[in-house]
Order: sequence, then C-alpha cells, then structure tokens
Amino acid sequence: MTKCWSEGELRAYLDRELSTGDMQQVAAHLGECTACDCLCTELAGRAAHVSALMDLLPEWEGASIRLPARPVVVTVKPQQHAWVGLAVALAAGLAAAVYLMPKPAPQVAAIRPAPVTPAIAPQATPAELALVPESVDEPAPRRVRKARKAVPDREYFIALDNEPFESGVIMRVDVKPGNVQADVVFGPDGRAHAFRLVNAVQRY
Amino acid sequence: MDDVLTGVQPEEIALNPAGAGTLGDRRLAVSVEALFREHYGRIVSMLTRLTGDRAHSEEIASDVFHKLSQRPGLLESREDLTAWIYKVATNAGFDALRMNSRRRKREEAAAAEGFHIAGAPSALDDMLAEERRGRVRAVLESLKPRDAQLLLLRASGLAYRELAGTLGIEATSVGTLLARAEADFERRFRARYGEHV
Repeated sequence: MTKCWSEGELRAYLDRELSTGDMQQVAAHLGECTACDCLCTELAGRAAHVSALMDLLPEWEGASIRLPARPVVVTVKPQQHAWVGLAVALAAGLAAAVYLMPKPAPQVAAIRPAPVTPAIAPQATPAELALVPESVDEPAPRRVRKARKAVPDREYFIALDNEPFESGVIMRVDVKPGNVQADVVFGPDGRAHAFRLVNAVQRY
Repeated sequence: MDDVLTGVQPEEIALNPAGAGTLGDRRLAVSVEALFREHYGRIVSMLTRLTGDRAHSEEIASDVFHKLSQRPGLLESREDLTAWIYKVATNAGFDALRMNSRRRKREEAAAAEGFHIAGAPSALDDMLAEERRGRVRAVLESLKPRDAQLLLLRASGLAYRELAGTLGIEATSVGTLLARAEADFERRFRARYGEHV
C-alpha cells in the first residue's frame, strides 16, 4: 500500500492544489486506504459546510474596482451633485434656446377651449397667448389682418383641453417623416395646451 | 463603478507626508502605491464579507494604507508588508464588528418589530438571512485572527499560493492551516447554534 497522506495534503487535494503527480498518487491511495478515504470524506463535508456558511456573507466584487490614477485619493464629491448641476445647466440651456429661437412670424392667437375659433390678439407679444373673452372685440391692426388673409384657416390653434390659461410659449416642432411642422402652445404649467399645423405658406 | 472610492476620505491616505520630496520619500510613496493597487480591492472585499458594510470597509482599508504611509520604518524594513496589511485590516474589521454589534442588535430588534407589523414573507426571509449572517460573523470573530483571515480569503477565491503570500506562510502549510481553521469554525458553530444553520 502506498504511503498515507497528511490532513493538510488531503485538504489541498480536495482543492486540487497539489501537483499533477501528487493528485494521481492521492487518488490511487484513497482507493486502497479506508482511513485516508474516511478522513478525506470528512474533510470534504466540513469544507462544504463551512463554505456554505461563508457564502452567506455578501461579498463586494473587487474585480470591478477602478482605482484612481494614484492612491492619493482626490476629494470625492457626491455623484448626485454633479448630475444635479448638469441637469440644471441643461434645463437652463433649453429654456434659453426656446426663448431665443427665431420665429418666422408673430405667433399670436387667442384661444377658446372648444370649439376653437379664436380671434387674433395683436397686442400680445410673440411669446404670449391671451384668452380673450367673447365679449371683447378689439380692432385688429391692419398688419395682422393681412397675415390672417394670407393663411385664413390654419392660423387657428386647436385646444387640447378645456383648461383656460392666460399666457404661454409657442414652440415650432418638426415631425418626421413628412416634415410636418406644427406650433405647440405650452402654458405656464409646462403642458401643451394647443397646437396648429404650419402650412406651406408659413414655412416659407 | 465610479463610486467605488466614495468611502475613501482624502485625508486618510497621505502619501506625501511632511518633508516629502526626497528620493527616499518618493520611493516609499511608490511602495505604498503599489501595495494599494494590489491589495485595496481585495481587502475591501474581505472586510465587506466580515462587516457587511461596504462603505465602512472602504474606510477601514483606507485607514490601513494611511497607517502604512505613516510608518516609513516599516516600509524600509523590507519585510513582507502584505501579511502586515491583511493582519491590520482584519483586526480593524473585527473591531468594527464588535463596535457595531450593539447597533446591529437594535436594528434587528427594530426589524423584527417592523416584521410583526408588516407581516410580509420577504421580511421574514430577510430577517432570517441577516440572523444567519450574524451567526457566521460571531463565530469568525471568536476564531484566531489568522484562521478568520484564511477562511475569509479562501471564501473570496484566493488560491493557496496567493493565501500563502497574503498571510506570510508557506504554501505547503496552507492545506493544514485551512483544515484546522475549518474544523475550529465548525466546532464553535455547532457549540453555539447546534446542527442548524
């Protein structure tokens, strides 16, 4: 019978940490030595038990570590602060772009909720809409009246809801495919309240 | 993951101590840097298993390297610093475990109370899982530090050669020490909690 192996060697055998030659010799010995075979079985059961218990402990995956360029760790600011700053800057840029975006013509109209048959409110600024009561009958300037003649029907906005609003921002959007353009009226609450399609005359 | 080092406090690792700038100091800084890069993640992983708190584990690991950087004599001794680093880290981890044991008991009591209120099955599972983890940590804490390190690092998947280098022992002794550590762990676990996990 071949020589018996120590407890440590049998433990290393279970982990396949012995050399190839030793692995073969231990395997051959376990087939002929009941004592070593029992000890090896006992070690295997214990190792499995301890391993199962240790696996209960959560481990942080160290493989995903991204170390700094140097171990002198720079000040780490909370990540959310950077995102908040970026989001605020982005929102401010979008808002500025909306206000600075050139518009082809004064987009002024008065909106009644439904059905939509608004009258043009010429005194309003290009970026504002005003609900005009039905009783109000203001004379429209000649300039605006000409524009109304050029595009008789499509100047009107179609209300998307019945909620009145006093002012808003008109934003021109381009929907593909087909390059259909539309003006959308956004109210102070940020929601779209009305829209109209832009015909070929207005585009040019 | 960018937030891996969020727990690292910048003042905790100072590789440029007062008087830095000489060739010797720069060499020491390079030594610490190499050790940091090689072992920081593994130490945090081991400590996370031990404490269950990743952020705290990162703080502990950072503190270990800070201590190392403050001991130029140790760096110049040309001893194997790896074993020293893991020993200090493990001891600090067990200290943190003991300090947090009271807080954890309060949290467990609060969680149990919340479970009675909520009555959700997942809450029961979570509570039982946390209780089992607490048992394992308690038994690890009762072991010899080197045995606990051995089990923790082996559970992290280190090969015998790596274990030997990390713990400062002979590679041929790893099997024997591991078998003894497992036997001691199992005996203590059964003595405390019986046959059930």
